[in-house]
Amino acid sequence: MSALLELQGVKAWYGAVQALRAIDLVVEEGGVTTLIGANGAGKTTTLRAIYNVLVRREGSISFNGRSILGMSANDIVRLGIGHVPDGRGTFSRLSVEQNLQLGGHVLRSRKAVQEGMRRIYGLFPILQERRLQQAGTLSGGEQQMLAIGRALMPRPKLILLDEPSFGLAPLIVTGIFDTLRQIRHQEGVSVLLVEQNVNLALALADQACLIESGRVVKNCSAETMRNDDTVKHVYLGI
Amino acid sequence: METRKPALFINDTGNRGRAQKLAVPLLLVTAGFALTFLLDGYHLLQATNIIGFAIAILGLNLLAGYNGQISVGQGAFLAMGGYTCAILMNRLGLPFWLAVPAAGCTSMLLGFLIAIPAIRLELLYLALATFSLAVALPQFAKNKVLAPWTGGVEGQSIQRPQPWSELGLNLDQTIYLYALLTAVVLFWLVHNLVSGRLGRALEAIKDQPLAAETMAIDTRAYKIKTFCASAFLTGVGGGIGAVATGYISADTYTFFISITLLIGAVIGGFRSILGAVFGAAFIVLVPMYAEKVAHGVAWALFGAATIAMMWLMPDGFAGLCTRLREHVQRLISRSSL
Amino acid sequence: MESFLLQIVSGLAIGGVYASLALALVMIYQTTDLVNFSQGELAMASTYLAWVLIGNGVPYWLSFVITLAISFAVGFFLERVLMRRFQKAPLHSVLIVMIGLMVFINGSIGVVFGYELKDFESPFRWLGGTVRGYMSSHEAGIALVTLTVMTLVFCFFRFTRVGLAMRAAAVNPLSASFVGVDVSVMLSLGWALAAMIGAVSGVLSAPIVYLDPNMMLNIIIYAFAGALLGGITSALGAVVGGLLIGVAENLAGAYLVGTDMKLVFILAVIICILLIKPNGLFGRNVVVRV
Repeated sequence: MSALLELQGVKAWYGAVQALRAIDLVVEEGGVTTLIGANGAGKTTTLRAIYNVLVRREGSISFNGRSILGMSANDIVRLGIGHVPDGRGTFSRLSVEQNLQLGGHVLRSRKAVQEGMRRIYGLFPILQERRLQQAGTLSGGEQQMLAIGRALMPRPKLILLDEPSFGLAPLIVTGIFDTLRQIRHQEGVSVLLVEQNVNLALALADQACLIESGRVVKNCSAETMRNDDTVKHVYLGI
Repeated sequence: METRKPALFINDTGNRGRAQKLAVPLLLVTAGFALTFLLDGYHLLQATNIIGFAIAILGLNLLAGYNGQISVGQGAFLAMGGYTCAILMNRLGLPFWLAVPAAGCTSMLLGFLIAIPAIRLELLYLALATFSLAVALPQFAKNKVLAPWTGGVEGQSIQRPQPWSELGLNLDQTIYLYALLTAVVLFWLVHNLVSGRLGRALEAIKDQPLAAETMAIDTRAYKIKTFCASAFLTGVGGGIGAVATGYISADTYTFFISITLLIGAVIGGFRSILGAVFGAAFIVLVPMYAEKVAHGVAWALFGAATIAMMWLMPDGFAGLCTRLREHVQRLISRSSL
Repeated sequence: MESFLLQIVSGLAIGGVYASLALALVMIYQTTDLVNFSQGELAMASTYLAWVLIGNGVPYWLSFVITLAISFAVGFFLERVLMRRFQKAPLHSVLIVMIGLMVFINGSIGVVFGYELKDFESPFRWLGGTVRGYMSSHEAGIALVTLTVMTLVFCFFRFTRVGLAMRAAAVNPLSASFVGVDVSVMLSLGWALAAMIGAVSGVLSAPIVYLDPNMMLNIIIYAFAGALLGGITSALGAVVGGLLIGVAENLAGAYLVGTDMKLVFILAVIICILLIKPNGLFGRNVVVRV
């Protein structure tokens, strides 16, 4: 396996406030890396730094061996990185179908968009049922599926997932994670996952990074992370 | 947001700073006083106009710089002041030096009436409503019902007031000197107003309306008061302009006069009191020369200057002066080291 | 009764002009939360362009198309070059820039073309004098053209990829960039489309109000009223609002306040909408940031 996404010494600022101090991480081709850490540690900021939104950043970020540091978000999408942002970011006043069409914005042909939509409806049949509904009227779980589906539309090589479990009932969260597992195999997509629910995250991931105050303090396999005493104590509550 | 120097800096300069601060206004007033005897009638009239506009712009500054509200229809208060003066002097034979303050008062009344709905509007919508007011304004003045008072489309001449001949002044000099004295008093008052408690309250309201409210500042009342004060000033300015020109009509108060006032305020800098003088000089002097070239040149220049101002120095001409002064001071202090 | 109907019909026709300009205002409001005060003057400048083209022997409809194309480009570059600089500036600065732009265009056109009224031919003479006695041929033409333009605009936003992307950028710029929409291009496109649609209103109204640098001053107020009445966030609202304002203006002029107080009437309408129903007929709630 080779590194698909690689961050080295990434620093980031919101205005004058430094949020990331030293982030190094790798997502392997076809792999799942998860970022864990407390609230405010810099998990979401790391994703934003990769996507070049809302933050100013420094360091080296490369995708497929190519630096993406100077690129804008919309160009990054074209390279094959999908983003499921925190709070899902669906277009609530547009229909489910239009949301997916927008997901396929970077696809050139109408046919490719149609094909993509069929694929997503296959993954999430409920979305097909609701396709003419305004996205804002969907349940939280359905909106999360829509956000994931939207990001998968252009067949990205990697998706950045920001807290897919946020605000959802436990049963629905389990469902979403099952689907993620399925997507990983079906679509062959790599995942960088930020998740509060460390248990679920470590169960899905093969690599894990622990972030504290904007620094990666531990970078190892998910297995090792799960057995780490501090992690067990602080994040898993065992 | 524009960067503002913290209050600490001003105190740092100590007494020397205060003397320096007084220097510019004193110089302006002395020069202004001397002009009474130096300029001929036509130029003195323009100088009076500048003062009238300066007071009007000061009103706009108060509203924009301290209330954070933009009135695009400030011409309404100018008109109120002008017509009040005309009516009081023509109908009741009031001397002009009483008519002008009265003009301020009627304008303030109008300001109060407008303020009640206006303070409920967000910046954008207030601008939109006052923009519309500015466009519709001439129709008020032309209105048949009001025509007996306003003079309608034909307008009306204003009775020439008595000069202060006991002081050896002719009419132009009299009006000019009166305008100058009025301006000095009003500028001094506004300066004290904004550098005191009220100024701090206004500042707070503009920056953090919610926080201001929680500090028991009655936002609504302050905003209405500022609006009234602003209308008063602009009304006085309108009165002076009308008295000096000696004639007003609906076409005196077109949409363009409102926009011109706003541009004057922008050029001078919203947050500057002395900036009002610069702004007024700009809007009076530029058309004087530019319109000789072709009709419309002044207007094009106004537009270009406004955009350039917001682009290059959003704190206006006065802000540029401040920056230049700081720059020079830095140079001096560096060379003395 | 006959004259009442006549007022309504001709109100709808002139309302078409207001509707186009209102739609232009809404287009920019949707993407930037700004009311473009210079929209009317941009339309006026476009109209002069059309006038020059026609005066030089270019056929009317070809001039119309060229004017729209150039207006589109000018709108695009105005956003790129000028408005872009003020993207992060406080609201009052942006408003002042737009007012400065308005003044600048007005003055420049005045310098180049002078301030005297110019005749502007109507392209609809072939429709005959009046259509069934209710509308002048030009009024019928206005209705026809506005209807066509509106339909095209709606189709653009409903059925095209770029139209959808523009809507996405307007409602949620961050998410739009996450799906690969270049939001900054969408902002420029918004200005471009607005300038183009505004140009339609200018060219259509010129035969009625005559061509002069101040021709749009009154019309922009009606467009404000139309956009506000429809709810400033809604394109459909702008069209309906513009048409309603056209009718209301005509009826008020004929039966209520007289033709010389129409602007005062519209001012009253604007203030009433702002105070009583700021979201208009079709607008969504605009969240107020205090």
